[in-house]
Amino acid sequence: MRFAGVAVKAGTIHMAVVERDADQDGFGVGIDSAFSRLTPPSGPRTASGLRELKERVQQEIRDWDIRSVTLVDTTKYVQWKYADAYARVLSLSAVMYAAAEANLPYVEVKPASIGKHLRTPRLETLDPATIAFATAPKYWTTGGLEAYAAAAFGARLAV
Amino acid sequence: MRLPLSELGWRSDSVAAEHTLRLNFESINSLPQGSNEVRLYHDEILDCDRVGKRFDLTMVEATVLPEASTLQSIRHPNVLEIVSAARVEGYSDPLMQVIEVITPYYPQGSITDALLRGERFSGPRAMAIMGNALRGIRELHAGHGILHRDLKSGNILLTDAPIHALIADLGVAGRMDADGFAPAVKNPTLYSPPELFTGGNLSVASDLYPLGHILRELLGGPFPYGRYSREQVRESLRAGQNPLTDEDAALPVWVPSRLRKIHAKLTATDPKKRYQTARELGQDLEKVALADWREVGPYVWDLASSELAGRAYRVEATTNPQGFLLSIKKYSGSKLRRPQGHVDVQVSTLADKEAREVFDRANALALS
Repeated sequence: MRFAGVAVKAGTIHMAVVERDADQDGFGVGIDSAFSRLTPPSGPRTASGLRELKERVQQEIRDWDIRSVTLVDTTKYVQWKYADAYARVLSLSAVMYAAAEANLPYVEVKPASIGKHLRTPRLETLDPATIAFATAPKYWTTGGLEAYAAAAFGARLAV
Repeated sequence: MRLPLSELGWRSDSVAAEHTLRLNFESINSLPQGSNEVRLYHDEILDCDRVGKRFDLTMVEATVLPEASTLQSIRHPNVLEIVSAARVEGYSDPLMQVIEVITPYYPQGSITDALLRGERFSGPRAMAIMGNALRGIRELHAGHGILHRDLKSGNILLTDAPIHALIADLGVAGRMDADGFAPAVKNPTLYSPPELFTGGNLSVASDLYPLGHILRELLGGPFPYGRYSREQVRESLRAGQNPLTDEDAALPVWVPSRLRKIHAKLTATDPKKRYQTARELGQDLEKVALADWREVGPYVWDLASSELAGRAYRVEATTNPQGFLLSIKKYSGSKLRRPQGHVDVQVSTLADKEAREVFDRANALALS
């Protein structure tokens, strides 16, 4: 079974997939080829831009036969620039909308809870081997780590 | 012409022999499309138009999936949905097994229909059509393991936003084997990949190849279809070449470099040098921002910064003995002024790298 994890960083949706079966030990296996980075459409802010982004997220979900979507909640509560907040809310909305349309469970989890599950209190120090990567995959340090970790957390909830 | 109702009847034998379900369709028109009979109907009960396409199942190649069941299993906003299917009886040859597949009617028709009506697509609309059509293709490939094998501008239907485009006519679609190949079906068109004849199999890269030509038509208008005979197309493909002339295959001068690279990768003769998945292509297309360019005169192009803003910038090419002097100008009310830092550029042809950089800069300015 495959589970998606999402981290929104710098206005980009990082979406990772972890595979884990019910009788499988460990935290699952990250699927490098399923990783995607989606950016909101450039240009003027339009309502159709949200739909377009949702469609792109949904196509990823369709391609990989996902069972749940887990989003890493932010710990940043102050000093938001409006442009940053707008990009994050747009991205979150697209992910939530896509999950709802696909009738998939959607949860938001704090990094601390994910770290606790993966036995890595400081999530940013997560070893790629935790999800069966020999070396850190591309984009690991720029959003991939959190997305994979969220996917592994989602697998734990469902399996 | 009103068809005999029995041709489209649904008989519910399990309830009572004397009860017959009928689709009370009036045939309005026959549509010129492909090798199968296609009719436009009016459904009198639901008061809407439908399209019916007939297939003789005995004539379908073994590697081809029956269109009715294939379409029925695919539910995607960018793939043409099937409303119903019926057996058609009454043909003189008793061996024929004719079915008619009924789909909704989309009055805008296909990209080809629109181009032949003289319609042209703005850059943003062209990109929206490409992006949505690609999602439909991606669903066929990744979601169902199916190759379309006959993608062309005539098989992409247009709809209003937000759907924009629908993949249609899966009449020669085939299932991929474990290695991602399906046998080549020899139905050469201007859009066919060279490996149609030079290799025995088609792949996802083969299915994506036609999108390069479709992109070119969306941005630059229709190919001169009449100039290419079926035999010419077949011969070029047999030689492993693109049948289109360089002139017909060329993108308009204002197309940004990033989109040119995508086009070149799509239409590479060697399938290994092309995009290997629709997902990979989609990710590259999403990075392209294309302003709304319009050629308003000889060597003069205007572009809008957004759908609401109207004219914003102009690129002008003045001919001189050395070639062209290219300048970017910004509309300031009704006047045109050179934006700060954008000096005129001398080029020998509009295909020069320096000329493309001018259009790239103008595109970026319009989208900033």
